[in-house]
Amino acid sequence: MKKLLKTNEFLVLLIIAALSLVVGLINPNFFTVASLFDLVRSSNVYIILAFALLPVVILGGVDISFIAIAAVASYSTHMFLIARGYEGGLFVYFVMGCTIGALAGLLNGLIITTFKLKVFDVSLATQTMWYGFTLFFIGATSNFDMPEGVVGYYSSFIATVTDEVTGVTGLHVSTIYVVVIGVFLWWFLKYTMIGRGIYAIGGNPEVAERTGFNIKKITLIVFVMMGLLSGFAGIVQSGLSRNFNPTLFIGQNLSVLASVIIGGAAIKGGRGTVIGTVLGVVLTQIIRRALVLTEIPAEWQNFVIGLILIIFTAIPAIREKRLEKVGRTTDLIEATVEE
Amino acid sequence: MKNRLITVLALILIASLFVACSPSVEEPVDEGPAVEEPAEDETFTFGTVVKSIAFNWFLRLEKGVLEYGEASGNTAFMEGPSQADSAAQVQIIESLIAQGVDGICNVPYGVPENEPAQKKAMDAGIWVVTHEASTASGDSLHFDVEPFNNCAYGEEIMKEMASRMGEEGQYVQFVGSLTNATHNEWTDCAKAYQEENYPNMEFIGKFESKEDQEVGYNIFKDLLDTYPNIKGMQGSAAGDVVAAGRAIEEAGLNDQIAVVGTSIKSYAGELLETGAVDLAMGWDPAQSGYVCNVVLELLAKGEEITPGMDLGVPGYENIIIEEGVNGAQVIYGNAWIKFDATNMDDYDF
Amino acid sequence: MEEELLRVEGITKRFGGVTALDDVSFSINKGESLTLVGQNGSGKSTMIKIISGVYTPDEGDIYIDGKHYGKMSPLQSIQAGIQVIYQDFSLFPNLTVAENIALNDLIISGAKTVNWNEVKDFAREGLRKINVDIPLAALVQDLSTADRQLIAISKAILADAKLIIMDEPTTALTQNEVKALFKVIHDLNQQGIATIFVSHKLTEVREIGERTIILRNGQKILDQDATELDIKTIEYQMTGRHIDRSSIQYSEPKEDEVIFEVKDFNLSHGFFDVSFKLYKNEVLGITGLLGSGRTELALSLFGQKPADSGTIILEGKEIKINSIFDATSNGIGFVPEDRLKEGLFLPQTINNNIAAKIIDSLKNKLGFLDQKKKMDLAGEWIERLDVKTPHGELPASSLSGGNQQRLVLAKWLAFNPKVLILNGPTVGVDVGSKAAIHDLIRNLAKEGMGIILMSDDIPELMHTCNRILLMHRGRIVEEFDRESTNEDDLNTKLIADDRDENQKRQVE
Repeated sequence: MKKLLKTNEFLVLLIIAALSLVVGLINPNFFTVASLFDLVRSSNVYIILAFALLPVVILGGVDISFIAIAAVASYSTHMFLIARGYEGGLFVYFVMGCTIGALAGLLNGLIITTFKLKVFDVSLATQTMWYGFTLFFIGATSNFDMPEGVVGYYSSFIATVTDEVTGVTGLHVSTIYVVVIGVFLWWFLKYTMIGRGIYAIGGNPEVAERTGFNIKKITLIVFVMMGLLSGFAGIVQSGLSRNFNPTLFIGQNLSVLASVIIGGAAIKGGRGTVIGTVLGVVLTQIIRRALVLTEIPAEWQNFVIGLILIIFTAIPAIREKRLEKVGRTTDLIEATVEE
Repeated sequence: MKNRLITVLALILIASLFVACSPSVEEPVDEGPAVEEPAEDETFTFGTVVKSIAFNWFLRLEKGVLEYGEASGNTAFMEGPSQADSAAQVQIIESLIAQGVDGICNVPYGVPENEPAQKKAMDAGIWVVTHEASTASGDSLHFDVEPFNNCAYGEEIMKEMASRMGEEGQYVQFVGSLTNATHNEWTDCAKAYQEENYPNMEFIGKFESKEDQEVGYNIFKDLLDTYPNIKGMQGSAAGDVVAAGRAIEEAGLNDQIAVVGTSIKSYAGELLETGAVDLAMGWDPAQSGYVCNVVLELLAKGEEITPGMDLGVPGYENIIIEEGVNGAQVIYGNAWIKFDATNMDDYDF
Repeated sequence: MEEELLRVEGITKRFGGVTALDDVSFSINKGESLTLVGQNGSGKSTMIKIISGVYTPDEGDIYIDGKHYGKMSPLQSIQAGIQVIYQDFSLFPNLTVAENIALNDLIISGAKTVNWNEVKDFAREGLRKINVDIPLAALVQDLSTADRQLIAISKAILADAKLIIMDEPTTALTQNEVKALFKVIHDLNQQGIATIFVSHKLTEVREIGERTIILRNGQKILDQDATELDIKTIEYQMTGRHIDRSSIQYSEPKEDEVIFEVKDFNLSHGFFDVSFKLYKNEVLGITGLLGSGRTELALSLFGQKPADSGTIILEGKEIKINSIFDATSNGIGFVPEDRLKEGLFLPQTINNNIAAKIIDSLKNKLGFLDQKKKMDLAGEWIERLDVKTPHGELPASSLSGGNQQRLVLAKWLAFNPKVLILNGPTVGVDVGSKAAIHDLIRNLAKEGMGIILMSDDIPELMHTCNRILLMHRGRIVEEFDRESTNEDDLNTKLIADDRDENQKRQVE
């Protein structure tokens, strides 16, 4: 129990609770079911993107290309299907988009493992490449033509509540994806040898190789997963937005990364959890919403979000520093207890 | 004397044709801008250069250029790089100079990067009119043409929104980003106009959609929560009104909130039909292409362009001429277009 | 009766133009204990990496249990029963004790998924086998070095190893822990598990090995029963020359001239009420077991972990050290224990490393770096410290361990500090280099530099220091004069403290 209280997840949860309380006191509307549904909806896609990024971060890399993969996968899928008069639902979109995403992710992985390059450097290149590819070869403008089967997607709800002012608010069906992917990723990271290998490589790649982990295979799997989930997130977001955008998510990679870090993942690798990641995204979404709900002017939003991010990225560093000061050796800890 | 001048000009023209491929073209130094004596039935050649031909927007603009050519009997065509790129655009301008066109209508990708090429064209005796370049320096062009003054456009949006709100109640504004100068000019002028003319309306705030509809949608839902009495919404990025319209439609508030803002049919069409978005405003690039060539023709014919003049193009019946921040002479029309469920089928862009 | 376990034949390995191993052959029987001895760069580490499958030999064959391996992967090596305990213990700092112990087994068994209850049971069993108690859920990064060592050993034992290779396992252990380790190795041999023990500490070689192999410059020089060897022979075979310690010239401190003094120094969780004086021309030793506060004291004196309270007086003037910058600008230098992490810029050239601390003094009139001045100065120190390199413009990473250590020294000596703090200056350095470094330290003191030497290597302290302070649980508990004490006496004092502690722990 004492250990639980010390975890990063608990800290984030605490801050979420405190922040919610403040926002709720200023604006009681925050404590409605409708508001909860809205929060879930605005978080879902970013949680899936964060899930895509999490294993990469645990592995010890920082990827910024996943948003471009989401864009190229969703937009090219859509343009392909529309050109062929497809009128069905999103299922075919998901299959095709995830495949394109997985292939794009695999490309990142292959470049990284073959040429032994840094994840960040490669992703910087592929991000630019994929956005450029989409704009030049596929199309430069948002496309609003929706197949019949996709039209109602943005309001496919599991449950709905009705409010006099805001009307009908629903719990969007994408929540199910988040839960399913989240449970799978949690199981994958905690209970499979590949998952443990990701943590091991993030902790010490040299030792991981010596221990017998297949670093190349694991790296490729991580990047295929990243691409697949990014493609998936791209299609969900486009479905919700009712348009497919060649520059989808542009500029939002760092805020996803920030959510993952706030959720307790270490930027140098080896640490990070699914629950923490979900909480990290939810917290950033609440911060963003809090600024509207508490009537803080829009000009302040970026400043305040940046400020909060600084505090959060500083927390792990502060802890590390404290640990260093306290000392690690058991003898010393005993000696101190005695003093 | 006059004959000699014409001979020199002709020689330069021929010479420039030969050296068109070489990277450093000797500029005619002494002659200055040439004024040709137009014959009554002379026809002109005007080249229009755009940022990139890969965008639907400029394909629409080309339509106006070609229409002008047909209507006037002059030769009018459009060129542009396959990718938005100032260097490629400058090359195209240089080849037009070499071809000896009478006028160039330029829509520069990077305004300062295009200025030297424009000057070079002017030195070669070519009339230069630009579009979307009101910040250019005054000596790099003869005129810049804009469909409207941004402030006047913002006020027009406010008028439309206010009339749909019964001139009272709370309203919000959206911009693509807080750093987009154009969007902010529209919204700030609209707000100033409201404060002057509609005292019963209340401004809530300006919000940033980050040019992303899902972001705009989520913000607008929160706004509905926080300010249940919102009566009006002004959008700036093409997706802003769509984002608000979706939230309003889901809440079943189509008739209670006036949504007016810049957009295009392909974005807002579906919601204009249901009434969730009340009115979309914008401008037609085809008209811009058309009027740009009209101004070239007037200049080539040696006519003077004065404030209040009628250019014979819809929206440009009573033009305003103002000096831009860097000295460019800017011609403004009132050439905004408005479309809702009733007339949007007239526009195919 | 003796059954052969591993045999290598004619192993040759080259790196670029350098031959690391040259036609080396040897074998080891089941349950046999072998020590592998050699200076840095002699090829020991390369041999270990070949046996464990990390490197592929250019020529030669490996036989395990009679099976021939031309090319062997790390996994094949592990599956054949070979376990290596590296100096870094091959642990994952971010994972728990239980997972670190169990990971090897999971990989060998080819498991696809992890059963956490089994992992815990397995790890508990492993720790019981070597009779230690470490919390299974603790992260390795929060553990002491000694605890990490224990985990590495229990890990290897659990892997059903037929051969355990230990690469200098005693470097970070206290005397008592070394004894316990030797007992564990002995037990392993009894059970039929062979061990290869790599060490620099010559006293250990005789204590543990049945058979000793000495490598020099990539060649096998000697392969014989350890009982017939004496330390002088081993030294000679390792270095190819005799080392004489009888004529050490100690420097004579001037007791009336205090150049550095520390009064009532405190750091919470580090050390308490530390006071001492350093005289001119003196080498002052500070020793203590792991966790005695010795390392923390060194870091505080250098400003890396500023002390909470206390006074520092340098050449009669009180100074404040709250940062590394404070320390260096007052003329205090520090040679860290972990030269790889803290001492050098490995990708940079050797010359640049030497010049790093004094870059400001190498400016020419225009304020640019005077390259010639830099080269001359670096060349001088390379020569003086006998850093073995073909060229000063090669990266520091191209040097062997012992030479890197000399380079760290060169960097600080070029800086010409008033007081130089050395923390374990010869950890991982072979016997030949060690003597040279000791000579240098004494000479520096003679020239007037104040030297504080922190070490738990008793012979090292006896060979260099004038006085030795013993730290225990964050306090200085005793002061020894070199002339009125001896190695055995010091050893006993150190271990006595250790024993007290162990007894206390058992009572608790």
